[in-house]
Amino acid sequence: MTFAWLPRAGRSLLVLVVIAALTCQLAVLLPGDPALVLLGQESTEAQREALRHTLGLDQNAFVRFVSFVGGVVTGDWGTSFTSGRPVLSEILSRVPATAELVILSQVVALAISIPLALHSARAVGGRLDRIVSTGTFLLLAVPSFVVGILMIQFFAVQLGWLPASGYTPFAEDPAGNLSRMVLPVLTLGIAEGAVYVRALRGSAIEALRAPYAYASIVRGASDSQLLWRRILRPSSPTLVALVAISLGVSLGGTLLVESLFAIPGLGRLTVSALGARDLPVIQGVVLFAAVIVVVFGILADIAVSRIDPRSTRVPV
Amino acid sequence: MFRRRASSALIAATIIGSLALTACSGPATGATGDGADTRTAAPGGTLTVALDRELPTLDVTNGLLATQPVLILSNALYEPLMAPAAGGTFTPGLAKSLESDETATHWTLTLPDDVTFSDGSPLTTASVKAHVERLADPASKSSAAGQAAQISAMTITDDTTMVFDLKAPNADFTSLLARTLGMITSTTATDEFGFPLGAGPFVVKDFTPGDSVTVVRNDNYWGEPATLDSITFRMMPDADSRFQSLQSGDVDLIWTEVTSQFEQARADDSLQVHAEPAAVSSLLLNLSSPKFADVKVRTALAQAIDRDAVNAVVNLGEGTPVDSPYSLLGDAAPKVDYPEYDLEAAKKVLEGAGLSFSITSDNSPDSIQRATAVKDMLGEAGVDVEIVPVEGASFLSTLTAKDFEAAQLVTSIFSDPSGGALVATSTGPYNFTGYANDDVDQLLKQASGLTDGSERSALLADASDHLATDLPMLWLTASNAGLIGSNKLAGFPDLTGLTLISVQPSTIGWAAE
Repeated sequence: MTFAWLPRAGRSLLVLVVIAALTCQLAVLLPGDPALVLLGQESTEAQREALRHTLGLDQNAFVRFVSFVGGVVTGDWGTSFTSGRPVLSEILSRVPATAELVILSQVVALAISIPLALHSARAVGGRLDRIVSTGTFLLLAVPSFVVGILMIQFFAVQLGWLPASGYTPFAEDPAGNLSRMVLPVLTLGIAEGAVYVRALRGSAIEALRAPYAYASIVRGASDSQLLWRRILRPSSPTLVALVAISLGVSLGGTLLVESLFAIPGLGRLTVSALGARDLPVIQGVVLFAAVIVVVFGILADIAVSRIDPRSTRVPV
Repeated sequence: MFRRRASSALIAATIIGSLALTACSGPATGATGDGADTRTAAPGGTLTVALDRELPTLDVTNGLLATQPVLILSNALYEPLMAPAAGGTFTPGLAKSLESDETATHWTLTLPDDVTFSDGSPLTTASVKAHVERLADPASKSSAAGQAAQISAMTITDDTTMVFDLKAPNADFTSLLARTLGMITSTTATDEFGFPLGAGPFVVKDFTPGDSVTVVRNDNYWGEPATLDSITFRMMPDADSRFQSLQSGDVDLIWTEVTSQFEQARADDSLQVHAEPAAVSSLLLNLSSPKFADVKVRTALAQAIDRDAVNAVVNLGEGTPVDSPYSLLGDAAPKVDYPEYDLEAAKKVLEGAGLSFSITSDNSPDSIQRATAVKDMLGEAGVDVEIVPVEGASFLSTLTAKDFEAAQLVTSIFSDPSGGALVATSTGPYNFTGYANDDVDQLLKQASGLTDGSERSALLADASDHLATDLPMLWLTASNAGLIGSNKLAGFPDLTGLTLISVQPSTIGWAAE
């Protein structure tokens, strides 16, 4: 088993090295001179040159790559140009907000999507199926930030039930944290849920056509028993893969929702670092996001192979 | 069955409709205005302010702390030596006085006797010198490094008096001391977050990078104590979210430059607007492009742009048309013979000429909307324009590299007379057009060495006339920028006539019942 995953781990490591090498080219690839951004338009060329030297921007790409990778391996991800704090600390300080947002929104998405998808699949073309199909297409067509703005306007401004924005750490104020998380979690969760409904419904319709489904019905299983015990598991590999990919990508930052609801997560860190041309932070965030995506990709493969062992067999 | 479906559809339509209506409808009644607030603020209380950007640090070396939207926070912590006054002038803030000799090269700064940093240690002229030296060092990564480099020597007379010797005359040196250069910080003491101590009416109590800053009243403040107990500044980059948070009562005061929000706030009894035209927009023409080599073409382009219409449509009237770098300077603004809107005259030159070019613009919604309005106007005159949106950090680099044909510049550098020299002199750091006119260079050089108002105004007027004739840049409008807050706030400083929206929050508080 361990050896079976070695090639995948090797490929993943290669992916990370390539990404690290590419991020080291950012100093060349990104338009905009970090020294000019930091020192301002009225600075002299001599001042900018001195700063480029101080920041190591005058080194060649290979030296920067070796220095970056060496630093990552030893836990030194560099120092932010703008804050002067270690990059790894900057990133880790933003993880809780993004992780909470992403995990809660996935819980909401799954809680909504699984029952809707299974029951829609059980009665294809029925009333519930039509309502769910229309609703999911509507949600897929409307960008999540529009849904967010409407929710803020309705639940925060008009009704005054929930805070419009902001973030309070759970450890400081659990109630405040959760009340501020409701709208962003719903915004993100509903959008993800719509995707999951479409994916799971299709797989469930396939599963319901399988002989074991007919056998279960003939044996007198109720709809709930049929859907939750016989259909969900064989239908779920696609959903599991989607959730894993979504988790991986979202943990790298959910920029729009973070900006809209003023949540200090990784997405906003990335944007502010890009705006300030804070190259060490940009490099760090990109690598961190890549690691998360790779790890969740591997976890998805493992989960799918556990759900359906046939998925790992080579077709004969 | 059909009735059930119909009723479901009706419910869905009602929900969607109510959401859409609540999102789109503006406040219904009432009116508020700008100007002096005569109500008394009761001592105590807390305030929540929404800033429009993320702050990774509170060290004044970071240029973000010198930007207009953040000055309300910077002023609270690091009260600047000088403060803006009406018409692009500056008055002493923390300083007792700042006076120049007749050459505008030697500036004498006098501090009050009892100024202290927030730890109670004295703020002396030695502190000022050390602060400026720190900023001048590129290693500090200070956005004021270039301004500090204008100072050739600092001579300390005593603890409260010192002289700045400038490398070149600069009658607008006072303006530099209203931002980073004048926000004196200790070079020997820091707070618990590692930020150099300031001498403002508030001190940092809590700071979460990218999220919020809480400041509390500085018990060691040398001046009149702040009215409020504390202020929490929340970093909320999304403009719609900021305004919705204000409407819902989540925050009490927001920074905005979105014209529709000013319009909505003025119609809302519960809100008050504190804004002035402060963000000047213009269209830069890259003179190295043969497309703009002929001054007749540049004049026709200016005639094709209806600045009043731009102000009415894009700024919703929340601003004013401009015709020179000095348009905001109140009584000192020169009367300039800038080309008036004349579409027929423009068409005579441009129609059928096959002129096409791109307008590079920062990608903010207001800028794109303004560029689109200009594109449409030029289109009516027969010019084919393409808009190229560029992300903020790349924008200045694009302009510096002169990698554009035409570009829309939106800036606050025209908040004082020095802005003209920055864009119009041949070596000006903001001269992105490549404009070089010896007469203008001489006029503005002479003006920068004059402290006499009337004589200086005459020179600036002459330079403006040259710019209106040569047209390296086409002037558009100055749009409103500022703060919208709860109507229950009192003690708000009067911003009338200010060209730099810089608010010291120490007098703001909740209106006494």
